[in-house]
Formats: sequence, structure tokens, C-alpha cells
Amino acid sequence: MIIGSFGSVCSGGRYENLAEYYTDKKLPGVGISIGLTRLFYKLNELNLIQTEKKSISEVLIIPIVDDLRVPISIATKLRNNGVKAEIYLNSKKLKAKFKYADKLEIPYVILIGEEEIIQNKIKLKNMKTGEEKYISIDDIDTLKF
Amino acid sequence: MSKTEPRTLSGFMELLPNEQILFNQIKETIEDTYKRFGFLPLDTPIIELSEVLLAKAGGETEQQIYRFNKGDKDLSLRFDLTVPLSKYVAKNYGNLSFPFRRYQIGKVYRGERTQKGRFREFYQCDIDIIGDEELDLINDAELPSVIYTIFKNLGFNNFTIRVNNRKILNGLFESLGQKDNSVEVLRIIDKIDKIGKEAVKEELNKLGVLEEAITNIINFIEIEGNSEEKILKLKQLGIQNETFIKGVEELEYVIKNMKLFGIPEQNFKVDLTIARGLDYYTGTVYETFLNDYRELRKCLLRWQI
Repeated sequence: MIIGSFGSVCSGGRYENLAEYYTDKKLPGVGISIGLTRLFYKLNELNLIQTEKKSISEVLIIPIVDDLRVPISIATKLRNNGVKAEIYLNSKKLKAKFKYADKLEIPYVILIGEEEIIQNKIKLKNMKTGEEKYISIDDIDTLKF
Repeated sequence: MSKTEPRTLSGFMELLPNEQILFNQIKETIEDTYKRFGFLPLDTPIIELSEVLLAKAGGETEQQIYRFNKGDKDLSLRFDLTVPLSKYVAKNYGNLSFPFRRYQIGKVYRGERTQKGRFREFYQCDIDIIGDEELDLINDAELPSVIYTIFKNLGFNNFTIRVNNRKILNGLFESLGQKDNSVEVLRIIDKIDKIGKEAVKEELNKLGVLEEAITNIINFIEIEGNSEEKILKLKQLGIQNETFIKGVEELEYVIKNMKLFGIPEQNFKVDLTIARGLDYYTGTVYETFLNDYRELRKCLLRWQI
């Protein structure tokens, strides 16, 4: 059964002469067009898509220090490795920063405080499982998300 | 200070971030697939000179155009991506390599009457292959394989690419002495899925098509079976019209090669009722339909990453 209200999601065909209004050259062609806006609207309307993905960041870096040099350098390293990384750059309470990661369902958080910097470490938290572990800053390049 | 109510025009889609992420994933899947088949990217201006953009337009299209003056220039917003492509190829003919394979993904504008699900600004994702003087028929078989790959990559399994050839219909009308009526007859046939057989008969009758010709037309569009059977039955109609015979040959060739390009038989079929863009298309025509609601629900779970 065809989804009645859906109609054709893409259509096209062969034409004899593409540009006869602009040139004497004979330009035959064949083409197809997808109406993306309508396709998306229909899928949405029929409740066939409900995205759960609210952010594209793979990791949120939360600095708990005033000096942002280390958090920024870690973000840069991750980004250079192709990781989608975001730094929380607003002086809020830690709870609010976690709430942001929670609401946007960012899967990992990296915490960087004074203690961590002294020990040349970061704290990595898996937001789904709650699992936390320390990782040496020298090993940042090995992190995969 | 008085505040302006923030609002968006109706007929213009604006999404929340989570929806936009999904929208973009679909768009990127389409673009990636186009690229994988070697189509070249193209971006043309949204605004063009009305004289250029409307060189061909008329009737319904023209009424839907967003048209305005800026300074002493009469300008219009593009209403599809095909007209800009035509202009582009004519303008850059000497600098392009043919066959010219291009994709373009962009917004187009049509001032349609606003109603639910109708958009005045919408994305079209186009691919075209343009030949210089000629373009082999095999290209008509490759395009559906691009579409097949896209819908597979989007997570759909149950969809059908319906294929027809305009020469078959045109040839049939010629053989029935309905050539002058062909545009109108095609327009009516095109609606058979929407309005049903009886309403089609009635409309053909109103148009002044003779009873016998109506019967022939209906018999023709009711040809059933799989793609091979339909082709065979078309041949068995014994219509000795050159255009008709050419159309059946082309359709048979395209179908055969669609398989060669790897489209499984369950994902395409010959549909003799498809007419498409009445005065524009001259040979192969396509439509793609999503089939099963439940299956659709299942496969779209994949998007809830």
C-alpha cells in the first residue's frame, strides 16, 4: 500500500532540450529532484521521525578554573583529532553546567579543575552511565568518542 | 520600548535545533550520495533577472513568482533549480565538460496559496546529466540507481521507483487520433491515483474523447503484471505507431539497465499512468513512492540516534 497522503517524494525524467530559451545548442538531459522540505515535513507530521539528538557535540569540556589555557588547549587537541568538542564558556555554578550537558544530551563531559591541572589529568564522565575516570592530559590524543 | 512580535511567515519552514540536526542529516545523506556518483556541485543565485528566469515561464508558474523591483532592475526569486541550470549551461557552455553531471541542493520560492504542508520556500535536491547534442539512454537507467542508493542510505527498504516513458503515451494518443488533446488527456490520466478510474473516464468524456478511444486508453493504463509482462503486453497491443514503438523499446532498455545498476526488482516497477511535467519531459519519467507505513516507522527509528 502506498502511503496515500505522502505522494511522490522524488520525480524527474528525460528532456529533449534543456536550454532552448538561452542558446541554439541542443542540450538533451535527464534529471531527478527530491523535494526535501516536503519529505521532511511529511515524515515529521506522520510521527515517523522524532529526533532525540539535541546537540552534535560529542563532548562538553567544563572548566572549573579561571585560567582557561588548559581547557582551551584540550578542546583544540580534540578538535584537531576530529572530535566535536565544545567548551562551556559562561561563569555559572557547576550544577548549571552539568544541566546544560544533560539537557542537550551530550554523551561525555570533561572536567578540568585546579587539582586536575596540577596532576596533569582530566576527569572524563560518561553522562549515560555516570562512570568517571581520570585520564592523563598526555593521553588526550588517544581518546575516542 | 514597544516590542515586535517575533514571527515567521506561513509557508516557511523553521526548525528547532534537534529537528534541524535531523533535517541536515538527511540533506547530507543526499549530498554524499550525489557526490559518490560523481556529480559536480553547483550553486546559483537565488535572485535572477526576471527576463532571464521567466524566459520560458507562463501561466500558473508565472503567477507564483516572487517578483520585485530593486533600483531599475526587475528581479525574481528562483522557483526551481532547472531554469538556473539551463541558464548556467548555456552561459558556460565552452567551459563545461559533457556529459555535464551536476547536483544542486538549494531553496526555491513559489508563492503558492498557503495551506497545511504547502511551502513557499523549500529545498530541492536536484541531479541532472546534460549532453552536448546527444545523451545516451543508459543515463536514464543510472539516475534511478542514485535515488535507490539515497533511500537505502536513509534507512528505507520499502519504496518503489516507478518508471514510464512519455513516448508510449504520446504514441498511443497519436494512434487514437487524440494527438491534439494529448496534453489535456495526460493531465487527466496523471490524476488516476488521486481521483480514480471512473472520474478519469468522466473527465475524458467531457474533453470530447470518443467512447472507443476512452476504452482503449483505460485498457492501456490497466495493463498489469511485472515490468517484463507489462512490456510484453505493450508490444502485444500491436500498435503500429513509430513513437509508441520507440517508447516501448526505450522503456525496456532502461528497465533492463536499472537492474544492471543494482536496483532490486522489488524497488522499481513500470507504471504506465505516470505522465509528469506535461510539456517538459519527452522520454523516461520517474516517480518514487514510500510504501509501507509500519516499515517506515521501524526504519526511521534509526534516525533517533
